[in-house]
Amino acid sequence: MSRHSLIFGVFCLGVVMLSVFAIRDGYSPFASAGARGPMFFGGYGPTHK
Amino acid sequence: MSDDTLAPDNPAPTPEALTAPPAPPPSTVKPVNCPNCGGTVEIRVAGTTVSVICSHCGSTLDATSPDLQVIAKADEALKTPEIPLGTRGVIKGRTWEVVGYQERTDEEVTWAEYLLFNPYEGYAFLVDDGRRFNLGLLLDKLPTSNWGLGLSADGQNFSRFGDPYPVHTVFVVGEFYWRAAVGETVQETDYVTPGTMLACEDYQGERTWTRLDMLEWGEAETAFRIAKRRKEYSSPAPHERSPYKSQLFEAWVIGVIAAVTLFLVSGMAGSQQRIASTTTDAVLDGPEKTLVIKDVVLPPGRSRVEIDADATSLDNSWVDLDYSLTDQKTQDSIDSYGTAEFYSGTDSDGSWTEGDRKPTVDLSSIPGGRYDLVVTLSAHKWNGAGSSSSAPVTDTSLMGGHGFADGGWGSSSGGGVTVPVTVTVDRGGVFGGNIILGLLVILIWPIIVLFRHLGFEKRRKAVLSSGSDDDDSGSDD
Repeated sequence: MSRHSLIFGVFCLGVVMLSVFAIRDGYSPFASAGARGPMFFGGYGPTHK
Repeated sequence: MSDDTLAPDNPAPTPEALTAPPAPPPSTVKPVNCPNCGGTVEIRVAGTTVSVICSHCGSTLDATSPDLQVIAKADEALKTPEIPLGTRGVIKGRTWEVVGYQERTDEEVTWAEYLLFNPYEGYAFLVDDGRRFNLGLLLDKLPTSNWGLGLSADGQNFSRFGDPYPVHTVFVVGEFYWRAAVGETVQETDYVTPGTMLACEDYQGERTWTRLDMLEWGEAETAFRIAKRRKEYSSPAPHERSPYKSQLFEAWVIGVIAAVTLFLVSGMAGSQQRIASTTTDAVLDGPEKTLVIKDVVLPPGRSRVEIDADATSLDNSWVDLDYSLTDQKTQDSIDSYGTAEFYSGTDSDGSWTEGDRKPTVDLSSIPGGRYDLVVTLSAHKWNGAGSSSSAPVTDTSLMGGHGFADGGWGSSSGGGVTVPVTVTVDRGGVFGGNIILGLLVILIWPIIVLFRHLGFEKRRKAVLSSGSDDDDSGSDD
C-alpha cells in the first residue's frame, strides 16, 4: 500500500469518526437555525412565470 | 552458468560476494591505435565486434581488419556518454559492460542507446529516453499474431502503438556487432503492453525484434553509478505503467469501505422518535396565532430535533411558522422558522403547481432537558401579484399540556377561511446531509487520482493523437 493510500485510509477513518460523533450528538452543519429576520416580508407567492 | 568473469567495477559487497569472492578476471581489453588520429582504441569484445568508433576522433574503424582500416572519418567533437564506455553494472542479476553508445532520433524525440555486453548472455541495450531506462534484449523467437489484435511474445500480448516511423542514428561511439554509423536509418514499429515494448526494426530487408523492459526508477542509475533521476511523469513512454493505477485501485477500495462503514454507522443510529404532535387551525389573513407544545423532553446529551408542519389543505396561500424551543430551566430558546405554501394556476403551458405544504425544520445538537415549543402561525391568502403581509401581533398565553393557545381566534372567528395545520416534533435519526457530505469528502481523493491517471494516459497516448488518425491502439493499460 502506498503512502498516499495510507494517508487516505487515515483520512477516511477520521471522516467516519466525525460522522459517528455527529450522529451521536445529532449535529449537522446544514440544520435550520435562527429566527425569521424582521424584514422577511414580501417574499411570498409563486415564482412560476 | 556464471557471470563471474564480468564483475562490476566497484561492486557493493553482497552476502554472495563475501562467501565466494570472484577472482579479478584477466583483462580482455585489446588496445590498438586509431589509424586516423593515433589515439588508443580499446576493443572489449574482440572477435564479435564488427565496427569500432574511435572515442578520440569519432572515426568508424573496421574491427574485422587486423590494421583497423578507417571506414569513415569524423571531425566533429565527440560527446561523452553519461555512462562511460567500459563501465560495468548489474541489472536483474546479470553483469553488463557498456561497450557502445549511440543516439537516435525519430525527428521529434532523441534518445540514447547503450550497447551492453556479457560474454555469457551476449548483447543487450540500455535505452535511455532522458527520464527512465529500459533494458532491451533481442528476441530469439518471433512474436506470433494475436488474432489480429496485436502480437504475442513471451506469454504477453502486445498491441501496436502508432504507425511505423523512421529512426535515424545521429551519434555513435564505441564498438558494435554491426557496422554502426551516423545517418543509419531504420524503420521502427512499436508494440506495447504495460511495462514492456516490442520494437520491430526493419533495415535493408532485415528485421530484428527487441524486447524493452522498463526498469524501476533508479535501478540503472544504481547499477552504473550515475546520478539518480527525479520521478516525473510529464511525458511518459508509450509502454510506461501509470503510477496512479494501483493508487487509484487502492483509493477506491478504501473509499468504498469507508462509504459502507458510513452507511452502517448511520443505520445503527436508530430511527426517529415522536415526542409530540398537535393540530390547530390558522385563519387566512387573520391575526397571528400562538401554539405552545409543552414538555418536550430530550434525553441527556445532545439530540437532533425535527419539527414538521402539515397544512395539506393549503391552496394559493401560505402559513408562516415561527418556532421557539425554550428550555424550561434556563429559558434559553432556539429559534427557527418554516413556511407552508402551495400555489396553483393555469397558463399557456397548462396547469402548474408550486410550493411545499409540509415544511420541515431540523434543529441540530439540542442539549438534553425539558423544553416548551412555541409555534407562531400566520396564514395568508395569495391574491395574485400583490399579497398581504403579516397581521399585527396578538397576545398569546401558554397552556398546560400538549395544547395550544389561539390568542382569541377560533377556527371560524372573523368569518375567515381556516386551514388546519398539524405540528409534530421528533427527535433522533440521522441528518441525510451529513451522509452526503461524508461521501463527497471521501470521494475527493479517488476522483483526484482518477483524473491524474486519465491525464497520464492522455499524455502517454499523445503521440498517437498528434500522429495519424487511423490508429487508436495502445489502449491496453
